[in-house]
Amino acid sequence: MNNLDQFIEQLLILLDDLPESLIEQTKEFYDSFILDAKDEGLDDDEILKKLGNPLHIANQIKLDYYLNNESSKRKRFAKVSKAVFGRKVVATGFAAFSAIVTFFVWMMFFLIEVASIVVAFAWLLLFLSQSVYYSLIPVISVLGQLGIAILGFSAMLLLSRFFHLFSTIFRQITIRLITGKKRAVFLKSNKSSRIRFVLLTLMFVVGLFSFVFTPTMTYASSIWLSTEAPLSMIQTDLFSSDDVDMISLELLNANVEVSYANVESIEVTYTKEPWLEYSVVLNEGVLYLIEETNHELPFMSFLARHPGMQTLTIVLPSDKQLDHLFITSIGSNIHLQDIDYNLTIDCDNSLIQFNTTAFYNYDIQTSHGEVIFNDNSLGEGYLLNQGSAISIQITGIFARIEGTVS
Amino acid sequence: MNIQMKKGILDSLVLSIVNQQDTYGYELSEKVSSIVEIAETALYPVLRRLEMQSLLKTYSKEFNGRLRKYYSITPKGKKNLKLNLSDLLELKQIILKLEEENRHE
Repeated sequence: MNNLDQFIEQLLILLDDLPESLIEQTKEFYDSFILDAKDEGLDDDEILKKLGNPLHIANQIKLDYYLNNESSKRKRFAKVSKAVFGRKVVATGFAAFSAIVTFFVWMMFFLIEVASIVVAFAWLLLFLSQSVYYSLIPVISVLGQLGIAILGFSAMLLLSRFFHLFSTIFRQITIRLITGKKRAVFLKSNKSSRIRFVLLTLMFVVGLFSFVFTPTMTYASSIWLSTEAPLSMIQTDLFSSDDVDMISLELLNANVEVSYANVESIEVTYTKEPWLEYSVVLNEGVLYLIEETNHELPFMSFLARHPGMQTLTIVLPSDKQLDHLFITSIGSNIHLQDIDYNLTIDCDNSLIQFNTTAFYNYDIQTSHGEVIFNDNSLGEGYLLNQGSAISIQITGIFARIEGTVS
Repeated sequence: MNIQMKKGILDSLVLSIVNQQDTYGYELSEKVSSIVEIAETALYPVLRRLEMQSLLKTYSKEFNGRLRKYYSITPKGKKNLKLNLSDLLELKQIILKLEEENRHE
């Protein structure tokens, strides 16, 4: 290899990262140049002198190439990719993406939080005058809701920081891949950003803790309340308000006294404990006693089905009466006193006793039972008693009695 | 001569030479270097640049059983040359004045 070949080779190596066609044209030019020079009778050293420094030539060609828009496919690509993956575009894109995602998630969190906190505070205020046990639940709940709010907020902030981190790394890798230029891929982290990150993580952990802790505590406290709370904690004055459509309460092996006005119906869900005496004092409306199956029963039927329950006393004021009493019973002791309503009785093997009652309409069917009326006033009705000795002691005013005694 | 100054003049010089007569690489190099020392600035990048700017165009012509690339000036190149020459004339006036003032000192 002579000096001239070396020159060409050096030049081509220096131009290596330029497009093939450009390198080809350059080689063509210098090959031709050398041949022309040889034709003029110059020797290798003289030609070499004329050719100049390959490094200078290569640098000049490269400089022109990179400065010239038209000549650079690669640069055009870099320009496009810069536009697409450029700092601002990527940052904006990721920011928009994370903003949309975080906004919706956060809004959801926010609305739930606001609602929960309002409810929890209302609860707190409602029960504040009551026992300490009751106020504990909403306190825990409020704290829990705040915890969840912190959790959501810090999670969103953390998420956005991760988005930022990913976008930066993604952008740098992209630039590196496209341009082939080495740039610092790793992020610079300064002190304040690290502190912020640690604080956010702390917030997140606290939020997570309360998120997990709250339901557990609420549950635990509700168990504790139900086992430790005295029976009298079934608060009767809680239901002292007027104009309530429906009251639902649980019989926790306790006597319940309900005094109220204008309540249309009461549902009592009881826990069946046959050895215990139940007492329900009802001032108005229809009383339904509901078994755990939620099957609605007229209360006499309830009594009949649960003979272990010894007495259920219902006292009604004279001006506020039941509209209609339904009794379906087998083997019951039914004692009605000072009541004034329409009556439907269908009882077998029962002792039915009426004291100072007034029935406007009645429909009584019994078999093998005993029906006793004392100081009653009956309107129009139908009495059917089959199968057994019947003792009817009637005092008071009767409009009409229709009876079949067998 | 200063390289930067040389570079500025080189474009005009090449254009004016090609304007007189179509020529090929080696011949052009000879002509240019008869006026300015060319080696360290390299002629080929200049030719390439002028071609890219459509001031020069090339065509191939056979010589001694091989193809030789000839450079000729384009209308745009002629226009550019004219402008460059007027700039250089202006420069010449400045240089002359500079010279005169230095002589008086």
